[in-house]
Amino acid sequence: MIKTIVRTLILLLIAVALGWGTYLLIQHLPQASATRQFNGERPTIGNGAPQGNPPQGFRGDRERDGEGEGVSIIPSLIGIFKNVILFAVGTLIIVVLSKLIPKKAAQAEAP
Amino acid sequence: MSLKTNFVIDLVAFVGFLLALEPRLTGTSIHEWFTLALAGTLLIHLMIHWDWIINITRRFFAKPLHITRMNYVLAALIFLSFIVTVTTGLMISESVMPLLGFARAEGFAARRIHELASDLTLFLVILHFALHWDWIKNAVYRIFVAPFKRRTPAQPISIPINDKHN
Repeated sequence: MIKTIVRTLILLLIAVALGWGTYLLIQHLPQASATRQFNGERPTIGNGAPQGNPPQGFRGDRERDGEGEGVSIIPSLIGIFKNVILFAVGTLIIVVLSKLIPKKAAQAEAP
Repeated sequence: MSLKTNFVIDLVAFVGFLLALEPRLTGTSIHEWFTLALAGTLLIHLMIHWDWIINITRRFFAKPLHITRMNYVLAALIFLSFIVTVTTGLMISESVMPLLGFARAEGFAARRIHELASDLTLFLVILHFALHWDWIKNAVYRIFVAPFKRRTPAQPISIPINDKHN
């Protein structure tokens, strides 16, 4: 029991230390390029905004008011399905490669 | 720890991870609390494999190109990228951190890094999943298939009678 508590504390300590390091690192990143967008000032084309309609990179009015970050089931389910497919394809590729590589190595070693 | 318990914890972590990648499914508030719970599950996952971690750490440089070392490095990268994801998630948190009395970070970098780190974590977890495919396959067989598989009834042994000596 004591062993488990000590191990948990060690893991938490490592996680908090790394998290704190990440936090400090991000705090020191230059962030001036995007602050105008969050202060409600719409960037215009030719004044910092890329081409597109609406200008890409602009956080829209609906999203700023909180409406854009709500629940949407169907796109989320599609996203989960896409990730499952990624898992399947990734696993298939690695399993096939891991079966091929030892065979090739064995063939190369064979007289 | 039994295979079944180990498998269930891994399954919960896997399904939880898939759900955590889609914050629009649950809404931001549930997404934040849910991901913190997932971090707890991953902590249990690491606790289960504590002996493996210590063992490989001790003899990491003995045979650096071995598959076990690759798994080790991959696990360390997943741990790191998950911490970056959680940290940046807490920085842009709209529910957890304000509840604890912390102000939300104003800035674009934390949100962008959060998205990049979660994408990187997904990629690394896919590799982790694929490298453990044999274990997953065996565990599924032993937990779900083997208990229901009918044993073939014992056949009576027929001993040929050698009557040469009679």
